[in-house]
Amino acid sequence: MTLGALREQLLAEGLLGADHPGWGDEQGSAWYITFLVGAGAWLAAILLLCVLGILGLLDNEGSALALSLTGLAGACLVRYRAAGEFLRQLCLAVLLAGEALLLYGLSDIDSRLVWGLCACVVLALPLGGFVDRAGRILTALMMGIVVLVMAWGEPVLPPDLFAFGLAFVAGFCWLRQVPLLAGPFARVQAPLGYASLITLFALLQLSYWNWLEARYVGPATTALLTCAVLWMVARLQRDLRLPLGAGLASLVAVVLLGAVSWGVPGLIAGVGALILGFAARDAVVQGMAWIYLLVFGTTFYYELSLTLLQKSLVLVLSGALFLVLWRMVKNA
Amino acid sequence: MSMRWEDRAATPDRILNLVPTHARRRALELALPTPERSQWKGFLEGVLAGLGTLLTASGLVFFIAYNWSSLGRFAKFGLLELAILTSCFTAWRAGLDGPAGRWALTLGALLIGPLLALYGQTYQLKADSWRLFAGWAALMLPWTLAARHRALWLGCWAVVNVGLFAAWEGEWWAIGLVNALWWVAAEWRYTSWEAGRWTLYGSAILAVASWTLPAWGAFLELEPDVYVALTAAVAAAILGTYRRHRRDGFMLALACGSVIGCVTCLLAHILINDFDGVLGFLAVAGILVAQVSAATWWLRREVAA
Repeated sequence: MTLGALREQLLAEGLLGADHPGWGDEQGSAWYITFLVGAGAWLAAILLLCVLGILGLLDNEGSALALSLTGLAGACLVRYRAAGEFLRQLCLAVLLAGEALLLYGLSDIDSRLVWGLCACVVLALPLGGFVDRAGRILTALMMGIVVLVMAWGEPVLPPDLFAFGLAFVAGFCWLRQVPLLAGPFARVQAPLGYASLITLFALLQLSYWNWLEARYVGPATTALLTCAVLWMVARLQRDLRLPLGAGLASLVAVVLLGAVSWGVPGLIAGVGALILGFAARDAVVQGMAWIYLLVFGTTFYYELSLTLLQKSLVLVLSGALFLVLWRMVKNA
Repeated sequence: MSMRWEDRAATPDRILNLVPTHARRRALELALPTPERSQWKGFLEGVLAGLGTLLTASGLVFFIAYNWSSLGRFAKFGLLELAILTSCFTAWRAGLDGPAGRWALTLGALLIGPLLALYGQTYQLKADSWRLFAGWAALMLPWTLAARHRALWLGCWAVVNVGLFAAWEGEWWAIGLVNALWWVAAEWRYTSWEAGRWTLYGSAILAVASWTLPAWGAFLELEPDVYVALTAAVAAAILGTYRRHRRDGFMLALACGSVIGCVTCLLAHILINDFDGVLGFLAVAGILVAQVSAATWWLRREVAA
């Protein structure tokens, strides 16, 4: 829907007054501008950290923590009132440097879980309070890094719980998109939604290939994610009022997919992300889902304990099955 | 892109910025409606057709790989050619206006590569790998023009670039030049080719990156280099074309990123080497922030114009 059509509809429903001004002064940024700003801010943040390192202020976790808290609070407050572009970008760079320092400053805490929870609590300030969307997205990605470190190093909680938690956050952010955007959490909906999907992808990849000695995320995660996708599909069926046959078929398909992706939970996660992306009408989420399916689909077939001939037959039969299903859906 | 505000998409960010609080929820419901049953059906059809095509093509490729030595040469050729003919027949029957015909032609075009590989292997041509990809791209191109399918355009572009990297690894100027020519051709015939904006952006990114990244290295070492001239030329061309003839904010942002990188690398060499470390890093950080600020302000003005 275009802004013009939306305005007309709101006027017709009496939600906008006839004398409501036009929206020609809209100042939102295109995604590539946000990307340019984010990349510049990252580089500037690294340079600022180099300065702090040369000055010897990073030798001590306590001083790093004090600097980070000052930087974070200052960046949020100054950005709130900043009018010029230079000051806005500077605030973004200071924000990122402050967040990196925060993670280092808290590293004295022995328990990974406590370290992560403290970091997430502090990062919630810029996540909800920083005016720039780029800053909020980068902050959410920083929280994702914190979750990854917790999942990797925390001996008490199983990594499957982190994977399910990330999937839950993504599902909540995108299925409840309209109520969240209309409420007080409007600013955190998209950053948390994107960051949770990216972090889940990284967690599943790291654990599957045991990179950096990451702990294994396995069948328990697949079971939990399958339940999550089942719940999502059941909810969609209720909203769409599907006939019983179609509804049952879709639930059975999800269960079978969960069984097939038993050792590679990324597959069922990708399917869930694709459904989320289409339901939320978000092209970025759909793009992420296709990356999930490509990467984990390749992993699945690569890891099959079969000869190359058998794998090729499995691939052709899988392809034929999808084409038959396509035909059935087309004729339904 | 130059666009009236009325024609811009009602994205969540714009709604949050423009719509008063009391009307916001209704505006979001209008702008982000839940897909209807027919839309889900269309989505599912597209996904199943796409995955089915991809898996079948992959399976056939692996099948060929496995039976490389045990099948007779005519059997090998027969299988592949039969698959290609079947996909062409399917495309003809289904027509190229719908997704089925386009995906069928895509599968056929993707199978040309394995057929050429088989030909080279069977007759021991001892050709370089880049020749395989060059031949594949050349044969694929008419199919790509006929299908007018974005996925096939992307595949064709990917095959061309794999061949380029195989042939000219390290010769970034040549890789950039071919991508620049592709970019110009695609922009010139944008409407009739229906290649989709992303193939165009991909070729632009590769062309700019192939020249700009070596230019950054040249600035860091403060050595004159042909890549500096190429980068300057492509940035000037982008600014001239996408400000005057066809406004495209993404392309302008690409040029800005390239120029900012060059200036930052040059200043990093001068300031960090010649000044005290702390002052040098601070100065470069400040100048970088100033450049990004200026570019952001300018891009927003250009996009809104």
